[in-house]
Amino acid sequence: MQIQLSDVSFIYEKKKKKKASALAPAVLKQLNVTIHSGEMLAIAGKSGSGKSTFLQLLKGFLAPTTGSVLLDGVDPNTSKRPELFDQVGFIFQYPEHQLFSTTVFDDIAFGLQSAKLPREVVEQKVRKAMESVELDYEVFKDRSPFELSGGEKRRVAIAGVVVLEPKLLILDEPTAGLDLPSRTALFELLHQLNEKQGLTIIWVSHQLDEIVNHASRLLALKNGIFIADGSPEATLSDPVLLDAFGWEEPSALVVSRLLEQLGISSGNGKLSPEEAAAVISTALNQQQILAK
Amino acid sequence: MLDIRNASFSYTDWEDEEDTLHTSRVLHQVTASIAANEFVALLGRNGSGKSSFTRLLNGIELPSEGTVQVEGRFTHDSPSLPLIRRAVQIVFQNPENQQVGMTVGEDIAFGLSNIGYPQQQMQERIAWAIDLVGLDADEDRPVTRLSGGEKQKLALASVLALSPKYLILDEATSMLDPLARKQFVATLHEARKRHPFALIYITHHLEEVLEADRWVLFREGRIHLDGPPAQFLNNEALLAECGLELPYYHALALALQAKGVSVPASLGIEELRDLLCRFN
Amino acid sequence: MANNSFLLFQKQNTWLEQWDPRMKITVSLIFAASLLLNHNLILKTAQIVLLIALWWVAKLSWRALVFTLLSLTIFFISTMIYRSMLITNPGDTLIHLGALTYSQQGAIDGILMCEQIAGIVLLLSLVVRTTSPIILAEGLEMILKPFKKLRLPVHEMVMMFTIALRFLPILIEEVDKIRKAQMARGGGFHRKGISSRFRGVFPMLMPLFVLSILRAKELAVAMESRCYQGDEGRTPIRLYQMHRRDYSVLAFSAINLLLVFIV
Repeated sequence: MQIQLSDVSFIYEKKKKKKASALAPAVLKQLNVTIHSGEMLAIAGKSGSGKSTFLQLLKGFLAPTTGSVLLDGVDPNTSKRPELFDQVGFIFQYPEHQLFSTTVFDDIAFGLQSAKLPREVVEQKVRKAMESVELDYEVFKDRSPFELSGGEKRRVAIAGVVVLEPKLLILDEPTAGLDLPSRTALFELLHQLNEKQGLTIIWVSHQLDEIVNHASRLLALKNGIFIADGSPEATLSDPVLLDAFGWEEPSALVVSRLLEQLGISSGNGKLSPEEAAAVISTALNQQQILAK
Repeated sequence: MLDIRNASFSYTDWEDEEDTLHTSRVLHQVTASIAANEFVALLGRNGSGKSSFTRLLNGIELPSEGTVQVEGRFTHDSPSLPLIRRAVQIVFQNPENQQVGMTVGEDIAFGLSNIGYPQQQMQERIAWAIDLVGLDADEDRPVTRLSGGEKQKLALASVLALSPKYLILDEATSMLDPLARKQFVATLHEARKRHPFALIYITHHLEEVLEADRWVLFREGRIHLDGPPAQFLNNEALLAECGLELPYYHALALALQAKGVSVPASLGIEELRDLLCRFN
Repeated sequence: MANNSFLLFQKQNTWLEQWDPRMKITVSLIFAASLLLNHNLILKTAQIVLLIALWWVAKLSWRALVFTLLSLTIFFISTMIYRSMLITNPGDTLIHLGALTYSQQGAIDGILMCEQIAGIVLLLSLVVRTTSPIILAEGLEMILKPFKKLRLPVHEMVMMFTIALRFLPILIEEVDKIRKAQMARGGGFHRKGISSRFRGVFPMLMPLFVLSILRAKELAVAMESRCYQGDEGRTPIRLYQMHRRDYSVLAFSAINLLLVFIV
């Protein structure tokens, strides 16, 4: 799905409030951005920078004060078609906190209830959603979501959104609170949804390594303005931007740049330690041969 | 000294129809000790027992077997508990769920009030604690008006006001963004320099604990390995199994060593440049 | 949610905020009593004017005052209608107010009743708006201290109250988040009929319940870790001292009460 924001501003009417809380909307200023179908877009910014407001505009939880949000060319707000926002899946931080049913199946099927589908169709859809988050249907469908591990609970919660077959998936810090193996597994899953099902994915992240490794594009938001928009490699090696956020350049970018500067070819500009070691040892061997 | 001997711990989960208790054991026969002013990192996957371990240290939970001693006092000896709790303080993961006061001052005062701190000196102590963590807020600031990083600094101020001998950080940085995390860690070590205390640090981020005296790796309720960081840093497989990722340069150094390139374990960008320029 | 700041206490350090909470509670009770016992139109009007003057001293917004009084309109109107139906002395001069007819006494009684409602509500909102809830709770704890001997858990009740207050904004935010999260995966149930919306209630309540329990558990561990063990051996966070101001206010309200009996 293509999303287009033109001249979007959002102003919170009550001026009294001094600081926006986590969910209270902050101010956005004249945003112009197009998000293309199939992107893996990371959004970064401190709390209060307007991230949450921006995401809520895409889902229709908030309407822009001025400007328009177009989903595939249509503005659901002005055309009075709020159901268009149903194509957007929104996964909040710690989505497992929203689980409520006695079985995994019921929890995932919650969103299908209002469509009044025949039982077989519901079953088939839930099965597919569970497969796409790599939960075995037969093993998990009758279990209580509350007795699952943290990583599994999160998958159930994600399945509850994926089952509605959204075209755009928004995730607010999807890996918060997970340990490394669960984090890695979650991103494998997101890449699969992105590649196999063609889902556009937008996620908020504080982890620069995560952004470098998984995003195709990075939007950095500060005080309601996008101060950077581009490839993670380019933006996260820009000293001005890094300074504005108080970030440190990811090591993968530093090492790759060094190798490039020294004329030792580097592949994609973000070498993993193993890749970098391979490049370096090859280079050293060649130099040794030349020296002899 | 904190001394944990053969401590086991289990949660009672549920009762079935025949009234049999089902318990899940989260710690098995753990033995460890932590000396005064030591900096110890507790590592391991979620559910490996490291959090439960810390709950034993201040007597919030008692071991089902074995003993826990804090400065010579046993946690199962309930008259000692007030002194033990005062000596062993915890900063938790979620700042919102550990703040009792409506304002910065009230929250710091909560702990002080509990230990019967003299009323006349309370204001002074609150100001001292705010200054110690460099919190840019006066004591009347409502806690709801603090950012995530500031809230966690307040949590730190509130426990340091009690002058603990041991401070446990239970994933205290995991909800912070990178900048706030960096500032929190800097504040912590600055405070520790001025008023030394032992630090027991639970984290998934190894770069935060590279300076630790010891790493203790938990695995399925047992201490799997306990030793100086160097003992772990060359064992990437073990760390990966326990959900830990080596910092980039450490991983690079290991990968290079594996390819027969001799580099020090503490590799940096400058060392790397020197290595590559040696032949150019 | 945005209205919270408008309705509740905001620190402004005015004269009324400096009163000792114990005295403020006592004085308010005396004043309420004098309002209730007072049947003199002039004196009661004077008391209302005094409350409005205090509103001004407390630097509270006039909008809030108007809002408070307007929200009582329905009570005023129903009281006046009710009074018009009771013409006690048929011989009295009748007053016609639109479609309503009053005896003189009836009209006065009606106005007195309205003033009574307005007075009590103004008094209550003055107390709440000029005292931090925590200080109010602590004042109450000190006043109720004698009841501790009767094993009334005064401290625990006050502690529970302050914690509830502390977590209220967090819970409000949480409700908003859960509501949106369930809407996001609800397949548009919130746009459909009442029965469909009704189905959305449980999915909201259940997570809220579970989360509140989790929070409560974490908070309990955190409080215990910070050496909390009931009110045993605690030093008070604030020391309250009665000043001359407090005694003069007390004296004034006593005179006010006396006046009611004399007139």
